[in-house]
Amino acid sequence: MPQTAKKRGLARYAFPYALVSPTIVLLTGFLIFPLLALFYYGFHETAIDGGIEFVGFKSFVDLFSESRFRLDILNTVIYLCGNLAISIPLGYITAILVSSGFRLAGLMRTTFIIPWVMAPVVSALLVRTLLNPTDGPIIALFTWIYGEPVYPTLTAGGSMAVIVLHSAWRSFPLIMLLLAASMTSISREVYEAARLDGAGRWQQFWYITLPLTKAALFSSMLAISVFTIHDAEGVFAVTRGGPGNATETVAVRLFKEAFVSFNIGQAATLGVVLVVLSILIIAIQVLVFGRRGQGE
Amino acid sequence: MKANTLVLGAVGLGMIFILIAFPLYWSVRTSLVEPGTAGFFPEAITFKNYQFLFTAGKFWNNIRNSILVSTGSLALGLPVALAAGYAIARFSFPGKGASTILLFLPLLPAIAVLIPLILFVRALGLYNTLWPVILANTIFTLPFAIWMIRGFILAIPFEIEEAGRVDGASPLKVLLLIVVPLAAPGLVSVGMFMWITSWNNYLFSFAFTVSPDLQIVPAAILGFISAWGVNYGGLNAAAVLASLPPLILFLAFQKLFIQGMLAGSIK
Repeated sequence: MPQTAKKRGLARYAFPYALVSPTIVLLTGFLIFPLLALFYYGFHETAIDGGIEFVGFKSFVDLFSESRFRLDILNTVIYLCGNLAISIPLGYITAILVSSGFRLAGLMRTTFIIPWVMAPVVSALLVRTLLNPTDGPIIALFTWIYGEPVYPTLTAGGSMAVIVLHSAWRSFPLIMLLLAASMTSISREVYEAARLDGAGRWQQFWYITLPLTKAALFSSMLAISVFTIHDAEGVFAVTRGGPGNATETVAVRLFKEAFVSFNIGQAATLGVVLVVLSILIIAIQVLVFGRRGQGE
Repeated sequence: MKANTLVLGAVGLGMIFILIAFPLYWSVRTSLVEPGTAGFFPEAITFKNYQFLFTAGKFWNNIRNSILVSTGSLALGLPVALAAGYAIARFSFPGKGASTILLFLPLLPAIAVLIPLILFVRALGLYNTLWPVILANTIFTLPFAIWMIRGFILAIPFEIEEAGRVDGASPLKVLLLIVVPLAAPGLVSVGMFMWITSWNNYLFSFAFTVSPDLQIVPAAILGFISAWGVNYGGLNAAAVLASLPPLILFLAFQKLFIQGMLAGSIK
């Protein structure tokens, strides 16, 4: 570690402090301060006479006793698990394809990253274009298969499937990238030895690839989980949370309360819930995977 | 082995086609025909949708605003991230642990913090300007950028900087004249990532601006959805144009970008 000139006390650290101060100022002002304000609003209410009074957990109790909110939570869980259930296998398949070292691997890697580089709003509207009742190709495909048109976005289940697939499509490139990097660092000899011992491809995957890529899987899963729980624009732009509230996740509900209904109090309460939910999901994943994912 | 490679290749190409090539093709195709035209390979191609974008749609405005926001947040964010990343990589100082916690802040939902932020911005009189949009984009890409830059700097052998200090250069000179050139590829990929993320972001513009002439490109795309129905031709034309800058940047710098993403995240 380099030593700055030997001055007394904290002046020794003048240079690194100067370096980090813009970051500290920005993050404190625009993240920490609003976060504290958010919690403040969540626990206070504006009375009719304009005064602000502390109401404790009242707004949270009210929220949790709503059946609509319980649906929001359920939808969020389904959305998250659905995404992971599709994007993780897809990530593995594409990672294997991309690290297999044959000529097309580079082209594949480039094209598979594209969903990640697109704007959420753009890909959401692309989904709507594909599902367009008049001339959308996916509708045409369903018509060809079932003999009559099927419109996924008219049913609760269909809509959920659509947003889950959309989210998985946007998520798998990151998983692919991290897994592929991890895979290329596994030495060929390990696979050779296994093959000499009579292990087939599937066994090689199960007993070598999977365990050795756990760390990469864990970190990509964490990133995708957080992104998915927070995703309001990606869902809203496709289904608006509909039909009814069938695809309304907590993030979408927050978005609606804040920007459609201008219900600041409710939005603040939901905001606190979302923050707590994020911390929970992170904590769960760290606890379940954290120790196993380390030290290979 | 040859049969295996063929199977892999076929699977790969099939996946590319279904997942990526087809949707993209469909988008471009829809943007080039009269709205409502059916068929995979329509014959009547028209540039009407694109023309509409730039005449009645005032798309140049949106492009200008998006460029301002993306470049602004890059210009602000990259130096700040470089400074912090360098400090965390090379120095130990009291409170360093606390700073590291700050890097976990992107795990907080931006949308939740947005509500107090809007009230804050209003109080500052900055509502309905591009400044809060630039600032918000900077702040939410900052932690990730700092982490990546930290990784790049750790990969540079410290001896070079040490030699510079021995030669009498101040710490600032060492940073600017030695570290920056050496970390340049990493800085480029982080910068690209920041720019693309800002370009793609809709939430902050939506939250902080109201005037039509301040709207950015994603907002223009959503403008084609109205109570009367959706103009898929115009929508896809805007979507195609909106996707071009990130795609072009990404294709041009992909090696750097991917290397950067991986190097930064493994450390």
